[in-house]
Amino acid sequence: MSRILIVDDNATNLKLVTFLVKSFGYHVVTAVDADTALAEVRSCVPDAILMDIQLPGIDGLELTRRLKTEPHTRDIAVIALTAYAMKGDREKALAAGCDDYMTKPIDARTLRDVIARHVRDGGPPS
Amino acid sequence: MITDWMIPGFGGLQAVELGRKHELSCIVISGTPNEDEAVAALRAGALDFLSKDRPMRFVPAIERALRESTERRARLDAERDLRTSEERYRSAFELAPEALVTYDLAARHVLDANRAAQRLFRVTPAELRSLTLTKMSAPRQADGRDSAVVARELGDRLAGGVDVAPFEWLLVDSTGEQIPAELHVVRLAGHDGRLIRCAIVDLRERRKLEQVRQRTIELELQNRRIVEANRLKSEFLANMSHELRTPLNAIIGFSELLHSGAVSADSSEHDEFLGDILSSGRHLLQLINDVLDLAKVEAGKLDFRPEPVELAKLVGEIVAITRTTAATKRITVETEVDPSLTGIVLDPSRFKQVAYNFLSNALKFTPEAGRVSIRITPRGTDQLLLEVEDTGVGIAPADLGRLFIEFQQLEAGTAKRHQGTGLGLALSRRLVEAQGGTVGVKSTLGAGSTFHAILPRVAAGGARVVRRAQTARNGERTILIVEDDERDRDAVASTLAQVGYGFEVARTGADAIARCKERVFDAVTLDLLLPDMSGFDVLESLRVGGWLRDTPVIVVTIVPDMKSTAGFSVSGVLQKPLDRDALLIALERAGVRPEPRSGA
Repeated sequence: MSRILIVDDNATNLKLVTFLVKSFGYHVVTAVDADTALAEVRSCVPDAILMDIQLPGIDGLELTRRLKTEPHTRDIAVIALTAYAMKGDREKALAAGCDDYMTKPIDARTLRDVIARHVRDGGPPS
Repeated sequence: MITDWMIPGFGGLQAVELGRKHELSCIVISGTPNEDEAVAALRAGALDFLSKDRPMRFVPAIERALRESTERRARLDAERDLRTSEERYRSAFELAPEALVTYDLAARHVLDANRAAQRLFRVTPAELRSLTLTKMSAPRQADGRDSAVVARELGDRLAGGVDVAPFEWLLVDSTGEQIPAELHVVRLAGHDGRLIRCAIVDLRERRKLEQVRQRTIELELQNRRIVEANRLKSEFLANMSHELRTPLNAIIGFSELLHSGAVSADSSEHDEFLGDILSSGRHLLQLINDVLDLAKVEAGKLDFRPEPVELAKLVGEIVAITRTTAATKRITVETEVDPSLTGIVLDPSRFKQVAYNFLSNALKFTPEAGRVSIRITPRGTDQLLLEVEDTGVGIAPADLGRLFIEFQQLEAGTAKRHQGTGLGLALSRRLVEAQGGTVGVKSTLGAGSTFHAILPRVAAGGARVVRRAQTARNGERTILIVEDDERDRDAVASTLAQVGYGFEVARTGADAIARCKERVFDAVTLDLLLPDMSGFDVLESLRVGGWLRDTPVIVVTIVPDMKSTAGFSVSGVLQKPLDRDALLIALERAGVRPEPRSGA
């Protein structure tokens, strides 16, 4: 079963996304800030990360930059999942190294398709 | 010239007179010399009267005559040179582009003045001599000093042989127009030291250029502020979009789950998700209300409905709203309402809004197991003081000034963790000011913060012009802020409010003068570029009029030109953008401290 790491500092949103991703048939790991996320990446090596951008301390963009410069983490797909939906926000996310970009509020079906696109094996049956 | 005394048809005396007329040295010789003739010849100017019988005397006499002639010629040349030089000097004096005046200190009037001076003072050469220093000076100098007094001191120093460095002086011409000028004074040698010469540099043109230059800088700054305001608005919009999407994500996402039947109606998750939808919906509503209130308050359309209230009851309601948040973080909330506070009339919902903003803010920034106190105490006889103290993270001094300003959410990483629109405190400030009060904060990094609001015990009703900051009266040191730029005004106001000064605001020079006539301020901060007149004009009319005789004035300006303020007695000159500490230090130095006057 593929592992998805969900990074979000908002408890309600974390709960929602966790529920959705679990329902897609993935194994879910969560983190509420950059430090926990880094620890989880090291211990469980997820197949993809759903990355909130606005985080306390190190934000999602900076965290992505760090992951993408490390040899053993750079191949993990990072999908920005953010409420920053103004002009230029997508470009900023992609420039930081995100492989994909989705805005909140999330559409469950789109979320499932995007994850499936970045996770090679073990995806749930569509 | 050597002439015989006895010449037929032409006397020796006539010859001598003729020779003298042509500046010649004359020697008279005579065959029959007698004393009377000798006396007559010498009287007529002859150099010598010799007997023809004594030719050996001729040689020394001729030598003497030649010597005398040379000397006389040299003297004549010197006299001619002097005359030319004087003429040259005279024309240089007359035609000099600068006004030059020779003044008699003892007689106290002008002795001589050149054409430029005549033009400057608009007088005829004949009127010149009637000019006295008093007539040539404005009654009072720019700093309010009596011109006659200062001039007398200056005259005494000059008469006493002391040199005076160039200085600025407010002159006045015969039509009464004031001429700011720079005077260069030298004492003239001789004349018992009573004569001085003064070169006058008319500063009007220079002042105009300075004003243009300052206006240009002002406009550039204004432009920069507009660009900055625009950037802040865009940022605010992006923030708003983010803050609206976040609860909507939960609302739409969970509703979809429940609606699609993915979560069965009898599961515990069903209930939990409904609760999440509800609280997200409430959060969204709060956000929208804040934005709308802010828009209203900005437009001056906010209504207040004052009614008799019981403060303890209102405080209890606010604490009840935040009970869950406090309990989750195990924060103790203490309340204290002074029982002597009775007969309070204010808008309960607006009061609760402010107190709630302070309290929820304190809860957000206080770590687990901390303490938050909410206190209401009397302030003077007609005000009350609301304080919310926390044991939170505290706020860096540099950030204090931005707390109450719209769109100025602190960028600190920890602050971002706490959801907010950057509106709560700004809105609170607007609400309090609209009711005639002030807000402020004191904070120690790592130890906690205390937010406060001072409100009248009996509020006036109806919609108010909210931008008018109100007077805090009870013994509080009150500063008049004269400033037309809103951001600069906010900077000064928030700085003053934080440390406990009261303030009033004037946006124009006329407004400032009117306010000073109404009441006495403890100090004035003065912008030099006001829409209707210059800050100096304001200062001058207040000082001269006696409205502001001893009040410390702190000039806050874009270009701190010490020289241009040199003539005015000001307590300090500060540069924009304002350095908060510098302002507080300047006030402190002027002896205006935030604590109430004794006996108040």
